[in-house]
Amino acid sequence: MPSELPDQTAALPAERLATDIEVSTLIAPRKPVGSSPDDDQTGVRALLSALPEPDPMPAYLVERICASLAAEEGQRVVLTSGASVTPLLATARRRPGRLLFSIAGAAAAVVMIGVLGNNLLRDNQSGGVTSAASSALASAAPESRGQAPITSDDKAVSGNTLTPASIQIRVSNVRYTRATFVTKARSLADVTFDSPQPMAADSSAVGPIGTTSGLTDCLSAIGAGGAQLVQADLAFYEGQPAVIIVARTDGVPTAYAVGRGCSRADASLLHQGIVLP
Amino acid sequence: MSRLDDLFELTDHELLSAHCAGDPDAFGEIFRRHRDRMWALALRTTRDPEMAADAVQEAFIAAFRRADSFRGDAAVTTWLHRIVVNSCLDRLRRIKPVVGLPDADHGDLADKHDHHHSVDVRLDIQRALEQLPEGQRMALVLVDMHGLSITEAASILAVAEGTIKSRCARGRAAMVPLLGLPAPPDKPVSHPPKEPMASS
Repeated sequence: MPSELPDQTAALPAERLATDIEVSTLIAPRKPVGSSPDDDQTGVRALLSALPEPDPMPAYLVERICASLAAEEGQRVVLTSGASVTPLLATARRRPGRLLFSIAGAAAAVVMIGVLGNNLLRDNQSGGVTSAASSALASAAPESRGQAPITSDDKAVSGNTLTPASIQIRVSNVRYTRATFVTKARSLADVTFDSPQPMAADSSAVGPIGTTSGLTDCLSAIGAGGAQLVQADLAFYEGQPAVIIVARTDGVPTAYAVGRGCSRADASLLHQGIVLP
Repeated sequence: MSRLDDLFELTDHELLSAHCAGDPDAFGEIFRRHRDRMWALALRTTRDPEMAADAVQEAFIAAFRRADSFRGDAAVTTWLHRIVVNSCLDRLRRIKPVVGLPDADHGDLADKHDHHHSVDVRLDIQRALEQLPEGQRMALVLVDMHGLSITEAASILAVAEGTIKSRCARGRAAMVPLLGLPAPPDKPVSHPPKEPMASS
C-alpha cells in the first residue's frame, strides 16, 4: 500500500510548518527534514535536498512584477470607484450636458424656497421660515455649484432624528489596534476631511457603510444615533477591515470600531465606544 | 509606527483579507514575503529562467486577482504554491508534451557517473529529473527539494497524500539507475510500489 511507505515527510508536523510560514515575515527556503537512511534508502532524497537553493528573485523581475501589480491595483481602484453607486463626493468636472440640469435645478430650488417661504409666512410661523429655507438652500446649493454634498444636512431636515447633522467619511486604510485605538481615534477626531476621496458605496470592498444612510443605520445600532457630528474612517482594526467612528454628542467625542458589515440589525462592534480625551 | 510597519506585523491571512478589503499595499507585502520562494519553485519546475520569470509573474497577478477565491482552509503559501505550479505546468505543456519514463529500467545515464564532480552531479540530477513523469517530478520537487510536507504537496497538486508518497517513492526509485546510484539492499528499486490510479 502506498500509504505504508516509510517516508518520514508524512510525519512532519504540518501545523508547525504552516505556523512557521505565517509568522515569519520573510519566507525563507525550507530544507527537507527527516532525511535519515530509514527515510529514503535510495539516497535520492538526500541528494535532492543537498542541491543549493536558487538565488533570490532577480531585481529586474522584482521590478517587473511590482509594476504589474501596481497596474493591477490602479485598475482595481478605477473599477471599484467607477463601478456602481453614486459617489458621496462628486468630482469638480461635470459633463457639459449636465449644466442645463444644474441651472434648472437651481431655478427650481429658488422657486421652491419662495413658495415654501410664502406658505410659511402665511401661516405666521416666522421662526420656521429661516430654518426651512436655509435647509432647502443647503440642499440645493451644492447641486447648483456642481458639487455633491459631503454632509447629510439634507437628511437631517427630513425628519429622521437619528441622522446626525454632519457625517464625514474617508478611506484611510490606517491600521488601528486595541493598543493604539484611543491615540489614533483622537487623531481622527482632530482631522478635518477637507479633501475627501470619492467612494463607491456599494463596492464589495466598502459596502453600505460607505454611504450616509448605511452609516446612519450603523450609528443607530451602536447607540450613537443622537450624535450631531460623525467622522467615519474606513480602515482596519486588529487586521480586520473596519470602520472607525468618532461620534460627537453635545461636543463630546466617542470612538467606536465596527466591522464593515455594521447595519441596523447587526452592530458588528469591534471596540466598545470610548470617550476620547 | 508607520503603515508599512503595521503591514509587516500582519499574518498572510490578514494581509490577504486586507487586500480583498481594498488595502492597496497588502498584496505588495505578500509578494515581498513569498517572492524568493516562489521564484525558486518556478525555476525548479520549469528549469528555464525565462519561463520561470513569466510563470511567476503570471502567478502573482493571478493571485492578486483571485484573492477573494482564497477560502482560508490552507496556508496562503500553499495557495500560492498551487498557483505557481499550475502556471509553470501550463507553460511547460504548451511548449512540449511531457515525456515520461516507463516504470521499469531506464537507462543510459548510469554509466557516466564514475567521474562526476558536484557540478556534473547537479546537472545529472536535473537531467534525471527531466526524465521522470510530470507527477513524480513535481512530487520530488515539492517534497525533496522544496521541503514541503506530504500534506502540503498533496494540497498543491490536488491529489491524495498517498499519491504523493507513491510518486515520491517511484520517482526516487527511478532516479537511482539514472544517477548510477547503488540499489538499496532491502528495497529493490526495480519494484517500486504501485501508485493508486492516475500517475501524473
